[in-house]
Amino acid sequence: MSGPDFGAWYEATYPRLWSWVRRVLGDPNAASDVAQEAFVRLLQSGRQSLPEAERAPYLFTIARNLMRDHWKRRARIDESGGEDVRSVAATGSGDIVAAIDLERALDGLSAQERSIVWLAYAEGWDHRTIGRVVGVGEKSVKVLLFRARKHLVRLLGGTS
Amino acid sequence: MIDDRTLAEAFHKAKAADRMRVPPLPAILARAECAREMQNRRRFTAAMWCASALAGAGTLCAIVLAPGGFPLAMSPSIAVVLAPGLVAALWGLAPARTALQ
Repeated sequence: MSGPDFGAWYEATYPRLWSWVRRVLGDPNAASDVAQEAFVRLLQSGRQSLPEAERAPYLFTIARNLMRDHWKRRARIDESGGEDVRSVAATGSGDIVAAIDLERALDGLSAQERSIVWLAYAEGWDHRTIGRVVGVGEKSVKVLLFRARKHLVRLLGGTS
Repeated sequence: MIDDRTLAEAFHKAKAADRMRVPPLPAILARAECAREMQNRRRFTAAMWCASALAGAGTLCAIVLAPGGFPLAMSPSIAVVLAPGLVAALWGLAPARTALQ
């Protein structure tokens, strides 16, 4: 992949990756660390030339593994765990109410549920791709997504 | 009833509302280059340790398998010479394995 092409892809993909990692980890600073490290590892592996359809899932898979490492480290440092430092981005736009509602609803989901619903609805990925990223089978994604969606809708105040 | 379309819209709005600083690409490229160099160095070290281990094991085998080599290998004098080499070679396998991971 040539420099300018990768530059454009990087500019477009970094925010997508950061948004997902932030929702899963609940910490904007940790999300920045993980997103940067994921790009470094992608470049280090020399797989930046993969086709676009495979490159983003590969990058997200690297980030998933880095998040696991982050959780392990955090569990070692803070035995009490469970502290959620999730914060909502203040934008001042008229849609913020809807955004806050979604953020609060996402808070009520498990990390895996947050991860799967985000990839399905914000990224629009199919079950197979989501399965590759989160490390579960395609059929399991279908079931997990169904449950996570139901849970999310309940938290949003709608009937499931 | 919240349908899939509404849900997708809410997620897209949340994504669009995110504010983050995109680090400059040259900084990421430099970090990747540095990481690659470190990895190459680790591989080189691993290769050296492996070579050391193989050389030690090979020398021992050659002595033991040579005519009259077994008693020689068992003799205290040769054991004094070979033991440190063998220990160093076996010890070298651990860092080699670590470096290759």
